Amino acid sequence: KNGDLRAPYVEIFDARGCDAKNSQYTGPKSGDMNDDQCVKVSMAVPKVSEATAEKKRQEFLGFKETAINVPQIAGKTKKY
Amino acid sequence: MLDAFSRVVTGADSKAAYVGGADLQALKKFVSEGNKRLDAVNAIVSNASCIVSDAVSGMICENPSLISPSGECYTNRRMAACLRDAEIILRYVSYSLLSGDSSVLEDRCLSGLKETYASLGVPAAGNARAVGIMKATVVAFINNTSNQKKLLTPSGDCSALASEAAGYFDKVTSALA
Repeated sequence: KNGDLRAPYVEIFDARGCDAKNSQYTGPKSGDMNDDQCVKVSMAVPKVSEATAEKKRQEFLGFKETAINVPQIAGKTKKY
Repeated sequence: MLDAFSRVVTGADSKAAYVGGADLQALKKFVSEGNKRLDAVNAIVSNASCIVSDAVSGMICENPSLISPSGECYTNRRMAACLRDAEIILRYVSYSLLSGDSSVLEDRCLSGLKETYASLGVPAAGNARAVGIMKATVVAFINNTSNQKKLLTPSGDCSALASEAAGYFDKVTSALA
């Protein structure tokens, strides 16, 4: 039912040089470093609870200016 | 729905031609610079929550009436929907950057978006501003010019990828206008 609200979630796994080996990829192995790398794309519904939204709203109320790295409009830049 | 490879193959197929010339060179570059692309996508998806929060907070602090009574983000439900929608757009842009093609973004996300928002009474200007802030943040992440950034990134010229990502955000802005 929420099909239209799904979004592609990209996850990039790179276990090269790590003790923990890549367990996400279960297909045929190539026998080289590519076995330790995997890109996973899954469709999922982003969930933002009303409790989270309330927390964010309270947080935003304390901001007086726009985020850093963002071209200002109305002379506002958020301070952290 | 295409990606960088299927788009070239489909184009060549429609002309009954082999893949070659500039198309083949572009695909070679796509492969040879694949790690840059993956790093860029990783920078976006790893910071998606912060990018979305910054965009929505910037939109609101520039237009506080959005969270005043009768504002479009006044209730928690509306604020949650706003954060969710911004994340959906960001996720589709990140996928477009991964695949090197915007057809999925256009077909699955932007098609009918303007009409949906218009029917719900969501203001286009606020949307465009939030998308603009996400664009600026993502470009700063990809170019590694983001202030106070804690994530270590290998050095390299990623300006082409930043331009590509900016182009996907511009498509979103155009679709909402």
